[in-house]
Amino acid sequence: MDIILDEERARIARNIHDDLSQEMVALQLELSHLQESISSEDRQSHKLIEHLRSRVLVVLDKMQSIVSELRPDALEVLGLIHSIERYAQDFESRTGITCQCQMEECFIELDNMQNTHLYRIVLEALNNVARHSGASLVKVRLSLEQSTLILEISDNGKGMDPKVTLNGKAFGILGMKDRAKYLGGEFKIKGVAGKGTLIKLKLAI
Amino acid sequence: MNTTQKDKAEILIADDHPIVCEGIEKILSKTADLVLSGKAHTGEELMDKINQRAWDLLLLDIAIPGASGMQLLKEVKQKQSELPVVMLSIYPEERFAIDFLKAGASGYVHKSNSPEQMLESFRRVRKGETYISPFLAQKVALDTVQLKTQPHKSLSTREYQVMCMIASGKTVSEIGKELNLSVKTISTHRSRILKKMKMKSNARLTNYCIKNFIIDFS
Repeated sequence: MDIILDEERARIARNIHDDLSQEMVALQLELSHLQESISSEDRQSHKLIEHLRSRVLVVLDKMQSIVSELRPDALEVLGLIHSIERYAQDFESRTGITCQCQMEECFIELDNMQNTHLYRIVLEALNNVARHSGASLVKVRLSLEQSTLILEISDNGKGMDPKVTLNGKAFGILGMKDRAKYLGGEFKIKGVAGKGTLIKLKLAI
Repeated sequence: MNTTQKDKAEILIADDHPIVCEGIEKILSKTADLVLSGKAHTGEELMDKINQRAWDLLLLDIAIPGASGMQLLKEVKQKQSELPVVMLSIYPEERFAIDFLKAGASGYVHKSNSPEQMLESFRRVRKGETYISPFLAQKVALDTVQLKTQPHKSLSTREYQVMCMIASGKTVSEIGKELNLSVKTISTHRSRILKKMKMKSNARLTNYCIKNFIIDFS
């Protein structure tokens, strides 16, 4: 269900961003050209154009707010690696849990939906760490071994109960599993009492 | 290419919206020192053009099909490290500008900026300077000043909460119990708070909180 919603939201966001917002930018530029072509003595027209330009800016801002609510726009702009690093910094200062990222700087070509699912898995896993693990350290690792992408999130907390990890209904595990399945990846979660929890996703590219 | 053309800075624009490229081309066409010499609409086209020849300035949309703006910026910088890059965006500057400047961009402009502002940014970046809008410059300056005079503004919500509890005289284990967090986590919070506040003891924290009216003992 989450996956279908994500795709629909992404589609709507793309339409707003790609079509409407760019048209508004073009309109803004046209208004600037129009303003240049009018004599500076015609103050009334200048005032009117200024007013129209400020209205266009308001509409643009509102559109961007809608787009930001519909999809993680940081992902499209900053890419998966930088978005995870940025989220990790925010997570660290929000929760006080040290978050170390080891991201292999390889230019892996993933499509928007693949990026979205991987990003959401990381977010869900980190939120679990903050809520339930009691950990002081969490590591997020993204690497490429031959043609397999490996995503690991490990913490030094109390370790998730194996009953929970097997049953998978709690802590958003089902959602993470669904996303992994959708990507065609292999998803594993393992908790060791007193030592922490490891989430591992392997994805053939 | 005629002589006048050679004197102009040759600009490459990478943006998937023709309407935006045309608008910027029109702005540039009215100048004597800048000319739009190349257009790319996808990440792939951009890298082809970067590999073909040297450019004086690149205007790069922060989100074009084929790759994220960040990834493209890094790839471009790997190929032509000296090429000045201005990021074009329709996102508010405070959201992404700093990320791109840290990654090697020389400027960040909102596509709805006035033609004068755009040209100013292109010219300054072309000269080797870094350009941020007066709005962003003011915001960054204000944030820095506030952080210097009121360091508690750099704390996260949780850290702020823990700081108030420490300043009220609660112990680490009492705080842990109240917030349902382990003693280890609270101790980590405490160390971070002291580090961010540049203080060494709980007594200093308490003193600061009282002076700044963060807690009240009356």
